[in-house]
Amino acid sequence: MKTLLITAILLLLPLHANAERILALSPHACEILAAIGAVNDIVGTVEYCDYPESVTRLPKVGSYNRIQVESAMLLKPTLAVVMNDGTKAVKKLRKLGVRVIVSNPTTISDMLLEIKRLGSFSGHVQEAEMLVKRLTQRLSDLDVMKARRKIPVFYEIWFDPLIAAGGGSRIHDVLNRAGLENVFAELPMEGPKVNVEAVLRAAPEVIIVPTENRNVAEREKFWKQWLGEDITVISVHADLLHRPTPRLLDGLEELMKKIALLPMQQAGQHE
Amino acid sequence: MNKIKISGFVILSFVLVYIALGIGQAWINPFFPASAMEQTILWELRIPRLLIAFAVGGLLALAGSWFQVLLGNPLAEPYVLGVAGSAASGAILMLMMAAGSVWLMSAGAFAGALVGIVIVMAFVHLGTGRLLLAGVVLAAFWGAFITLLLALMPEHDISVAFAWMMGDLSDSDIPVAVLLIVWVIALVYGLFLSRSLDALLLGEKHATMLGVDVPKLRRVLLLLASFVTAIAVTAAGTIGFVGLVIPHLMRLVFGSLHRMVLPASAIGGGLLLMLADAASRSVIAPAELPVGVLTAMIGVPLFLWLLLKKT
Repeated sequence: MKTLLITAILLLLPLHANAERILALSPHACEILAAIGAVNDIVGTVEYCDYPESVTRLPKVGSYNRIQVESAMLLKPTLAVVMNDGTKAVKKLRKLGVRVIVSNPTTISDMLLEIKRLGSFSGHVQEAEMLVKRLTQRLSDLDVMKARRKIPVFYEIWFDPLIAAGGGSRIHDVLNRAGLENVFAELPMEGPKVNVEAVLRAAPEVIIVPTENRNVAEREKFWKQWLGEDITVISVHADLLHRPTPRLLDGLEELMKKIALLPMQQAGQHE
Repeated sequence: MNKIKISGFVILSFVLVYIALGIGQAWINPFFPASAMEQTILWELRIPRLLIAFAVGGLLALAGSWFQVLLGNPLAEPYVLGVAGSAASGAILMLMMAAGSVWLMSAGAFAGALVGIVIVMAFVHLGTGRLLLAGVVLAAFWGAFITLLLALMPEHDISVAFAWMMGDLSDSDIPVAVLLIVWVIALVYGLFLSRSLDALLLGEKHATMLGVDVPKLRRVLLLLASFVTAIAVTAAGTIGFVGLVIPHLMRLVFGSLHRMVLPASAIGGGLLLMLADAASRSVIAPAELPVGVLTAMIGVPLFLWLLLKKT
């Protein structure tokens, strides 16, 4: 009888062990895991995990760089996907036996690798591979839309203080993919503080303003005042472009479509 | 002798203004901008910005010299005593509660400065050592309070608050003209009080004997220093050590009479902050350094040197 019971338990165990109980501790981890069909394995998230709808109902355990270990452990996690490895909370999670995966892709190619990696860790290898295949195809489709001439652009990460996208930033990679030239590519910082004089000297032809807590019309007025009426100001969806997730391609497509519609671009294509 | 010093100071001021206007990401000759773009950069970007720096630096130096008399302590300064921190706390609190209202933020900064000074005043009679210790602890407290606000604040507001904490002259919520008018009023009013200030510097008894209404003078100085600190903090965030370095330097050069020290500080503080701002725009151009970092880099070693010299 005893042997039978143990056998039964041993037989049942792998079934339980298979499904990880995942803490998705950054907005992009939530999105990627949801996109590869692991949404039911997520037991906890953090602040700003707001996509897709289904993850918003999950319990939150702090923010991506300030994780509450106690509430996290109450969810009995087996796996945690974190963005910032350096915090004490993450060390504690590791000590308490949670498997920690650090995920902070800085380019679109890294993001694709990340999807596969999270797929294999969460046991959703096939879905992840299919998704990456689809995304790769879409990227090469988008590549055709790429501008012929590299238009110099200024990407306004924030307006007060004025923050640009530096050469090492995720946005820099996105601009490159879109066939645009980041006028502050030479700056090694991720989000360097710049000033209007620096933007004037960099002479961008297009200003890109993410629609994140700011009045785009006002920003357009501001830049026209400094760079003249000819300057083009376009707005992009911040949540799409600023997170390394599959939705980034939606953001990229939106950006590339807006660029393709610009008069200067169409003139270029007639040549 | 004084005439030579004054003319030297005036000539030096012009040279410094010339340099501060010229340097940046690329040199612009202030008299002959080479292109229309340089013209725009010079007149619409650099000059307004340097005027903000001038007014704020001057106000901080004036506040510093008043604090030094008010507390009878040569090391007193808004930043060192935590008053800049309390003003920033008030302003950031208002930024959180009533986003976008410049006047509420200024009122918050003013109330914060006043609270900070009143607390500091309670330590004045305990002597220099304890006063400075109280200042250090209060500055730490306000720092923690600001960190608390940062933790409660939505993430996108943090860069705004951070710019405040490190000083930012790129734009001012208070119009430049208003800042300059406040600078003039503060200086004129200070000059009006200069005899009483000289007397108070020699000691309370001495001042009373000379017919100065000491309690009233203290109250006036308290309000004046709070008001000026609040304006400077609202316009540019917390910028440390200008109020310490400049009055000292000016006393070294011009002696301790306030009818000399105050105007020289108001101008000297302005010039120092203009130079610091020019450096913050140039060192890692096209990116910018926070100006408060630069003034602290100059101010802290000088402060320590003064401490060593005193003992």
